[in-house]
Amino acid sequence: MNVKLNRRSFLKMAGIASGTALLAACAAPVAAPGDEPMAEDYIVNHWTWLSASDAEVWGAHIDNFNEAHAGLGIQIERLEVSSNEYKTKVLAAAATGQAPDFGWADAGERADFIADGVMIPVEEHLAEAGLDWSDFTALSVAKGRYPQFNNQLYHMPLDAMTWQLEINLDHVEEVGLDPDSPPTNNDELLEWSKALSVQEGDTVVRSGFLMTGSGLHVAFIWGLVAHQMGFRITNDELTEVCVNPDAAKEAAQWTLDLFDVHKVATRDVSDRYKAFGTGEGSMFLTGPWTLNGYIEQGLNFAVEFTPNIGGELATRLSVGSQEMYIQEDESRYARSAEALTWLSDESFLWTTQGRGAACRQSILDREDYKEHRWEYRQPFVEGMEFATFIPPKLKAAPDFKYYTSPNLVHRIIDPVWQGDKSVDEGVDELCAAWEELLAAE
Amino acid sequence: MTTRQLPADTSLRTRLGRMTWKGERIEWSAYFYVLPFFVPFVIFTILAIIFGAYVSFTEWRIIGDPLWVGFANYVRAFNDDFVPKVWGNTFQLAAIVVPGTTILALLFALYVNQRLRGFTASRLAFYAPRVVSVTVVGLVWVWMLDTRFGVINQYLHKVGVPYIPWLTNPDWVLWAVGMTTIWWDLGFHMVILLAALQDIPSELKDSASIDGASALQQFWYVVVPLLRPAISLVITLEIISAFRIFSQIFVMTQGGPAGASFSIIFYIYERGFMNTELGYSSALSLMLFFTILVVTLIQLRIIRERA
Amino acid sequence: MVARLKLVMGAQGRLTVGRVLLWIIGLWLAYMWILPFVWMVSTSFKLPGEVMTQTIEWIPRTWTLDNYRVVFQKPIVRWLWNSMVVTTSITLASIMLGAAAGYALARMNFPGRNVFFMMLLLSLMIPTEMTIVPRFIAFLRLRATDSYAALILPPIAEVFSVYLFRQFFLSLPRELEEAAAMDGASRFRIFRVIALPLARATTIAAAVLLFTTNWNAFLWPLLITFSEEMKTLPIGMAAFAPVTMNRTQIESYAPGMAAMTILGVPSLIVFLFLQRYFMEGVISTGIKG
Repeated sequence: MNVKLNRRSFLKMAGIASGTALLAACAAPVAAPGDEPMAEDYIVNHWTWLSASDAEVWGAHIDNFNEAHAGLGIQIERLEVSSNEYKTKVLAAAATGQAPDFGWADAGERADFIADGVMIPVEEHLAEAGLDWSDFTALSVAKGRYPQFNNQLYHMPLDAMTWQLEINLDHVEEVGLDPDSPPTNNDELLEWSKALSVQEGDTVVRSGFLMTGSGLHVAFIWGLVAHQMGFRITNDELTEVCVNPDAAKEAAQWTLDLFDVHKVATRDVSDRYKAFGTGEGSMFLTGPWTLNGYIEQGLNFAVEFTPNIGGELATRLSVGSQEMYIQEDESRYARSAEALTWLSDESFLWTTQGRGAACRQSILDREDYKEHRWEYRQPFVEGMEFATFIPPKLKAAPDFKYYTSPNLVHRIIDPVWQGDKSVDEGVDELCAAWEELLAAE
Repeated sequence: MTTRQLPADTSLRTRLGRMTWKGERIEWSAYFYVLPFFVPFVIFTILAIIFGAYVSFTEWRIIGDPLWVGFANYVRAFNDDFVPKVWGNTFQLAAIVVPGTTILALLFALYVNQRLRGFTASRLAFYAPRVVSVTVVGLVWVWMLDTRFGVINQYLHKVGVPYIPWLTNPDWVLWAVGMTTIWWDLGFHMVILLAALQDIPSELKDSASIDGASALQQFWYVVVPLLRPAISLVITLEIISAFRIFSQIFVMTQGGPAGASFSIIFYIYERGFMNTELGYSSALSLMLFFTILVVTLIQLRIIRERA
Repeated sequence: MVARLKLVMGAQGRLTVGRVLLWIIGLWLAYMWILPFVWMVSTSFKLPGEVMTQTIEWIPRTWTLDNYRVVFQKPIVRWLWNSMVVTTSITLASIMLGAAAGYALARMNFPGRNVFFMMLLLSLMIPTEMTIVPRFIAFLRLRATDSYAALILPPIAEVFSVYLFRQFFLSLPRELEEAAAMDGASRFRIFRVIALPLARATTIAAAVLLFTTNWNAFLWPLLITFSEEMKTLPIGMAAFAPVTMNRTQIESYAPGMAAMTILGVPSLIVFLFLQRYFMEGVISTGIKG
């Protein structure tokens, strides 16, 4: 051993360093360089789980608020929390009285949080802060109400997102299809998918109709088609699950056939965004948050309405919104409402360059609303007319959704796409599981 | 001050000083050495385990108080189709990683031990992945294993292998995660084996070669038996870490595709921290503990019996 | 020719085809083993548009620092600082606690010694993940989440450290210490002046192992940190992973690789400088069962 370290100085150093580090760490847990807000400013804490290019626009929106309120004694502090642990961390923070003031959510999909008592109704607080509720589109407000909680409104809508069909125009041109008459029904969709697919031997190397091989996206396609075919996850009264299960089975078979019979999709896709962006897929059902990325990347694509595959035209609606969390100091609500009102009044930037359609009639009516990248945004905005496919507002909503992080639906249905389970088995099993969840509500 | 002490004190001190334990004088000062470690150890490990066992008998969504539900979480685990799946995935991963790492680490150690020119550089290279964070390892491999654009498939394609859907196909994903883990973890185990190899007296090998043993015989009959304790340690550590695989999954696959790479810990995380089912998550943790315990005991038994 | 080859290889003894092959294969493997790092660094300097290519390009067509600019929009200096504070504290604390406890277990006679040791052995088999839910709840109740205390305290009682030191002190001949005791040295003095200095190699090996383990710690910091300011480097950087749940980064791998280069290269450099101490430390101590 030729380690030349003076023992005494080493030990002394080690002792002092670790002692002080530990002491400093324990004594002043959150004291840290770089987070010293101006002493007089009232800080509204906002948590968000946005993470893609839309997160940057949202950040700019918050920055605009802070700039507009510089010296006015109120500032918003934005914190990005991973969507994976968002709920746990909000619950944990609320349990210790440190919940953020407001945060991102999909309106109508938070019955569990309300039952936990971490959210408060927002209608009155915001009205008192001067928010003009009559200016909101009826659809967006309706989505934030919960019948089982006195029909109270728990969300302030910011943008309405629909799912529509993005088509790679390079591929369309390559195979000689007419980009001006995109597919509108099942037959046309299949025809286009087949024309756009590329096979090498028996394997599909370019999906005419892009789907992931498992997980949320393929489940979503199935769910949407099932909905169009007349399947309902629950009835309107939320008393019964799986209305018309045969439609769900028919839709599952339709989805499987895309993989195996028509061979217009490969299962070997897990990152759907990358796959469409790199030309591994030609038609992609997705939402408006993808636009910025693809446009900036220079992808040659168009957006068309979701085709009517199942007989009853419908697509998924998701309303991006803010929810307010419970505070020990109730006086905080008024200041948060003040901030939220501004964020809604000034949401032009967010609903043109961010994502989704405005939920304020006054913004939708503005002349310049249809300027920024309108040819891409138009189908997402106008498609709201038939965006009727929404998850039920149950406490167990996370397990009743298709388009979400891994959940019960994916666990039960994924084996169907992999061929390990029959369509009937999968749907029946899922319905039984949902039945149980509904009984436990 | 020290010279004048009360008689009672003195007698207590001497009495304590004379006390014995197992026939030897007790050194009371030992507790000053041991307690600084054992206090945090008991708080953060022992009590945590006991509390975890308690939580596993409750239903708890973080907010409010835990609700005692008896064995409900365990009953649920036995009826949960996903439990055998994640346990199966983890065993499969262990079946790839444990032998893969052990054999490769042994081969690498044997090579380095030859001390051919450049062996220090090689040793460094083999150990290097272990130094960086699993986040780095996972992300770099996700990029290298990309089906179309990944460097691995592109090289394989050159020699006529079709594109392998490493991370997007349920049949391949465990191999992909396993490969990554072996690359990351091998260096550490190589060093352990290297240490053991250097302890083997060269006279032993020399006498064996005089007896006319071939290199292979020499390796098998002289080297391997002497390495057994080290190999056993490597395997034990490997098994424990294979059953705890999490970060690779988190960064590389998030359990997909079709749940094919859901490891036990990832399921514990998903249930507990993405779905706030702390009780169920704790029950699964306890089941994992017993799994590791049983597997380790079996493994120790097998290796000891052969010794 | 053969002699020269032997010289180049640094080989002793007989030169066989096998040994030449071994030499070549070994060097080739070592080279392959570090290629992922080369690929990482290379990608990090590429334009995002030039990453997804149909052929392998080890050298970027256009060199750019844009990816690094993207990464530095995140508070990575802060994360680096957190990682340093947390990892250094844990490493130093667990070495001191481990050395003291290991010494007592190896050398001193006191009631409870065997019980302590049994507890240690058992807990070596317990996956630390098992303790995560209870720890999380405890820190929640103490309102101490998102703090250095939460990041540092739980891992300091590292059993492996005690185990290493105990094994080392057991292997140490008692004569030296006995002689010192005859001269009237106190137990603490013996520990400090005689035993500890001899354990320098073990200390360094333990330090490197503890440091790398804690530097790379993932699950616990992921759960216990809430704010950007308290994240450690691996947690913060995980945001660049393309596999997130709902809305992925469409923007290819280049910024991710830049983040990984920033995250990985410093530890590789530190290791490069310390590797001699470390290798010899590990090899000359009891980490071999």
